[in-house]
Amino acid sequence: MRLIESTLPYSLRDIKCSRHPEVSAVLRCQACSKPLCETCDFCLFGEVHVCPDCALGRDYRLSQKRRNMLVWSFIMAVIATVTLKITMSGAFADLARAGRDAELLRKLIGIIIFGPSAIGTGLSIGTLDHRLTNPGVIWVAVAWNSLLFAAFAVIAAIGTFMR
Amino acid sequence: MQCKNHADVSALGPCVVCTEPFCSHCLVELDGQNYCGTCKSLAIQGRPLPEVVTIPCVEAREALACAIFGVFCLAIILGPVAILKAIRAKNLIAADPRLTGSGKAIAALIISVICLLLTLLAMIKIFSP
Repeated sequence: MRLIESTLPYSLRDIKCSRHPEVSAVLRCQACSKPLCETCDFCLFGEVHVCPDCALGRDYRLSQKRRNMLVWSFIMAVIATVTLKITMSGAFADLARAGRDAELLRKLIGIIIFGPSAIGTGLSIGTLDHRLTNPGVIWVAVAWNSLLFAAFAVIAAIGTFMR
Repeated sequence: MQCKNHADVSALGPCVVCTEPFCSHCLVELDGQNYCGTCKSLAIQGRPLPEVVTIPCVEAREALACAIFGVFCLAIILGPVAILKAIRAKNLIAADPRLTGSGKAIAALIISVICLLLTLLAMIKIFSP
């Protein structure tokens, strides 16, 4: 792709490539808007032009969407852990021993532990993507949430059949 | 040795892929190695994509939403819907290198399968004499 000086967008007049200080830039990276010369231009699928750093995935930052999902998955993990701890410490033991409201108790536990752990597992695994960069913090969220989710699924299965 | 693109400029060094001599204007440094403009795409093969290139897969997002909603109610209906949508999303993602959302499809599959199993177990328990 060879562009004549006059066809360049105004924002690129007299601007040099960020890697080659003596070469005029012909376009900007569509990810980080650094000016690029033809040598540095990576043209990817769908006519998207990016700079070498973005093409290599350097200085990668999670996009806003993925960051929100990750934050929510951590919030869900904390909620599920706290409620699991409260339940295990016997806060509902009296209710269960009294024999009444057993159905209510089961629903309550389902909503306060199973719900958050399922949502957290979904969001954390959903943040992973084999075509994008996956920082280690996502794997922490996946491990934490799926442990809670798996533990609850096992307890629920045992509870249904061993009673 | 002269640059392959600029006959009047002396070369800085060779491209690591094609080993042709190039000047400093025609070489780009990627991870400490010099590539020429034509060969540079080989340096990024198999790497994660920059997010500007990608398109989120709508089916995968819907599958995950169905699976999570199914945790609370109607797992018996929403579970199979989520599984079907997740399988379709995985096929779409496999066919198009720009589509992302493989994690969402996997999460939807895991959650809806576990919820369906638990629901079926509970139903067997309820309806068995």
